[in-house]
Amino acid sequence: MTTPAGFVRLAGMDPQRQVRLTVDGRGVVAQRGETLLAALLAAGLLQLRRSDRRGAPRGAFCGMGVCMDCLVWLQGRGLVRSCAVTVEPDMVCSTQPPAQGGS
Amino acid sequence: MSDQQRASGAERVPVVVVGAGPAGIGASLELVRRGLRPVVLHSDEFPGGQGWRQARGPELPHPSSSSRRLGERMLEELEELRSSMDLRSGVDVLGLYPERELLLDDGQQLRSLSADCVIIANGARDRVLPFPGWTLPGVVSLGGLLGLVERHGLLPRGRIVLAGSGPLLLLAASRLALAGHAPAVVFDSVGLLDLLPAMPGLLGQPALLAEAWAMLRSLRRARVPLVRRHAVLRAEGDGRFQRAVVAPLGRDQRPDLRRTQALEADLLAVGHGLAPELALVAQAGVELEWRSALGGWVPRCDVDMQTRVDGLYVAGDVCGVHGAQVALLQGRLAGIAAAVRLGASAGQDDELEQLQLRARLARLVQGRAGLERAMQPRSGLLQLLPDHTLICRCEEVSLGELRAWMARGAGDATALKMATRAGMGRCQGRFCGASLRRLLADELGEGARMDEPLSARPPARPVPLERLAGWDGLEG
Repeated sequence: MTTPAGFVRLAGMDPQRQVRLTVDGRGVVAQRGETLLAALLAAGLLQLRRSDRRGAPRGAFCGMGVCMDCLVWLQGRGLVRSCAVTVEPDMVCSTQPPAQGGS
Repeated sequence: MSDQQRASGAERVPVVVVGAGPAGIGASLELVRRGLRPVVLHSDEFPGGQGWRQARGPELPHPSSSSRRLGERMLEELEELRSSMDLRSGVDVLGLYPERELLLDDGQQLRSLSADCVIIANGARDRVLPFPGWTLPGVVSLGGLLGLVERHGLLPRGRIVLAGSGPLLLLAASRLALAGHAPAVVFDSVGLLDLLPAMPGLLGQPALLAEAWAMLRSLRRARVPLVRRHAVLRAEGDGRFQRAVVAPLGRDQRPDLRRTQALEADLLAVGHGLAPELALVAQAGVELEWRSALGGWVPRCDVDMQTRVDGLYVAGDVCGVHGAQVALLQGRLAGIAAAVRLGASAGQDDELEQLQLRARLARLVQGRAGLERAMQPRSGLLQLLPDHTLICRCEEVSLGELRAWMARGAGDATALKMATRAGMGRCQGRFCGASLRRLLADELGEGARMDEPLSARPPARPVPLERLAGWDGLEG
């Protein structure tokens, strides 16, 4: 009973609650009320950042705001824990440091 | 906060509860019942904590319906009394200073708040022992896996492997099984024989045994193999987790490196129980004592949950991991004691209630110590780690680097922190502190005072520099 890897939403997708985000320049459809981490994982992004010193891939680890491995750059807010942020329409986020002068 | 309050420095209130899990809710309800209006701070969006997490997705079957009912009932009660308290969501407490002054971060700005009484009920976190590859995407903590399902409304797909020990191991496995996507295999580092000494104590805990039985039954029904006395040696994969290498455990849980096996999988969840979240109590100067059966260092407090720091109370998993039911009772005791101190006592009724609560608490705690001791990870789990294992995830400090500094004479946790920055990164040593100390003890011998807790200084959570710059400070 092997299913493809990844994460699915327990509640499925509700078209009434769709929110559009931009993640690393591409459009991602999320659900109003869910966390940014849920949206990113459901969109297939297992790797959320690269580590500061060694540039090694990292993803969500503790899911409860402690480990800081799910940090992403959110336009207008800087580096945030994606597990602790609720998605909002038209959020723009990036898994890589923004170019010089960006937010 | 009004301009006037800002001008006069910190906002001042009678009582603050830090945390809105079972303990924080218990404390808040008792305070409200005595006519006080507590400020309740918690970092999540919804109250409930990790114990009574409110799902964003649909409700999933839970192996223990009684514990879920208790949580639902308490959250309803909280909702009814919500207007009588000042519940602030999404607030991190960064510091706890003398005179019970708290430094708060609400995600926008920093502010300070002082109180006559502070009840710390900020719970526990996962204890994860390091192994090579534990930083790969696709390796999560057991609490993290439960959080992805319960809090983030996601169900993991593909082949899932669970490993470690403690109550979260069976709980996570059983919740996935009941959700219709059972893990491929569960590795428990604890053997049945290890559990024998805990059995006499557990006979007085029918509810706990029933819960464990329900979880085991759900695994059997879903045909999930539960392999005992095994542990993950390393996780491998190209840019993400793809393979777990496991081995059977021998004496002191030392893995047998000649009998390893590799398993292909998509997600690995690991953990060895929970550890109290001590950053705030340590900052506040609360005396800590070493109780291995309670998960390591715990704050010292009296039967009414009062610490020796004036006006400071502790409740719930922060004083030793016992789960939601115990936390609720401890929270209620702390709430009553704080109310009495603030002159809002209900008189003799309070004393009677305290006696009853203490008796119920004693019954619930009895026999648990044996189980905790049996499920504690043993030293062998860390002894054969290769040098390239990252011990500190945040600062990416390897075991080899730490060993090199120890060989050069770094003889305690503070010296190692200074030399390597281990434990000084974004998570503030929450995931490496315990293994650092254990490694030191193994390398340098138990005599060298290795069990001292890592020192804790504010901020307890990282905070952007802009926010610090915009803060008017604690002076004045």
